[in-house]
Amino acid sequence: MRSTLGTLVGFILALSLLPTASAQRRPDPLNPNEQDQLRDAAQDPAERLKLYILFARTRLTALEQMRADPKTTDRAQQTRDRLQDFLDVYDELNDNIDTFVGRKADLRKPLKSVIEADTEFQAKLRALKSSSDSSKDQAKYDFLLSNVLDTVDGSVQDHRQLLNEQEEAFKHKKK
Amino acid sequence: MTAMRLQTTIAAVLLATSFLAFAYKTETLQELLARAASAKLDDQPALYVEVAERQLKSADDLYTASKVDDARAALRDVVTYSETAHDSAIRSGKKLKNTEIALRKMAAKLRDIKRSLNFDDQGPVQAAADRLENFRTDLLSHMFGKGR
Repeated sequence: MRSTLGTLVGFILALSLLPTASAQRRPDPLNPNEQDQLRDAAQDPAERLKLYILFARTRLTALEQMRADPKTTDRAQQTRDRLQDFLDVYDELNDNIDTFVGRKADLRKPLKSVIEADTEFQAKLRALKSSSDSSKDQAKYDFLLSNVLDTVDGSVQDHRQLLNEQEEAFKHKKK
Repeated sequence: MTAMRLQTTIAAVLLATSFLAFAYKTETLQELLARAASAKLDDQPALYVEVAERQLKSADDLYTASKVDDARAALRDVVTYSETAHDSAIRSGKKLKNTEIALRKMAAKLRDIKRSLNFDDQGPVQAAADRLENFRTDLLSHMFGKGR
């Protein structure tokens, strides 16, 4: 009797934990179609980085469209969510650059596109930073926005330095 | 004479520095772990993050080489040492932001690895990414009193 009751209590407890466990799982920042495109470009650094730039840009465009839409509700939370989406994709872009550097790939051409995109992202993020949201709303996403800006600012320096290093290295390889 | 002594000192310092840098670069995982365990609490988050990052690189290489069991063992290390980095950052109250950023980047790498695997192998990688995200959230909570 006691063991049956114990099993029942255990079962109810386990059930009550289920929503918590699933709530902690974050969805993949890329949709299945984007994942397929990346898989097809797995061996092609130029194509893969181009796709990441496109996906990151799509996230920022969606953010701008959401903010421009007068029907948007809970603008601050949505701003925060979309910034996190952008950051997740941008982190993966950087991670892929590191991987390709490890494989000694020639990234000179794709890096130029990445640096151009960095500049575009910086401009859009700074525009958001100086937006006219109320301070209460801004507080909801301000830390994340600063984090994203720090990441992009730091990355653009890294990307420029890497491009210089690659240009120097491949110049010597040609000789 | 004084200038020559100065030059010798500078050369000795440079030599010692480059030797130390080389020694750290070639430090084995066990040596790094020993250094982390005996380090000051303030220095532990960065050292355990380095251990986790190394094991993440190993996991990636092992999955590429289709050594799935070894890769999963490395993955468990990633979670274990990320948690240790998280714990030491909270206990010391230092390097919270750096640790949070490192965990965020490792979680991104894990998601990327996951997508390159067969469906059957994806579960443990997703679970590891989720654990790292939970550590991140917890660090953010400590940085701001409550999660933001």
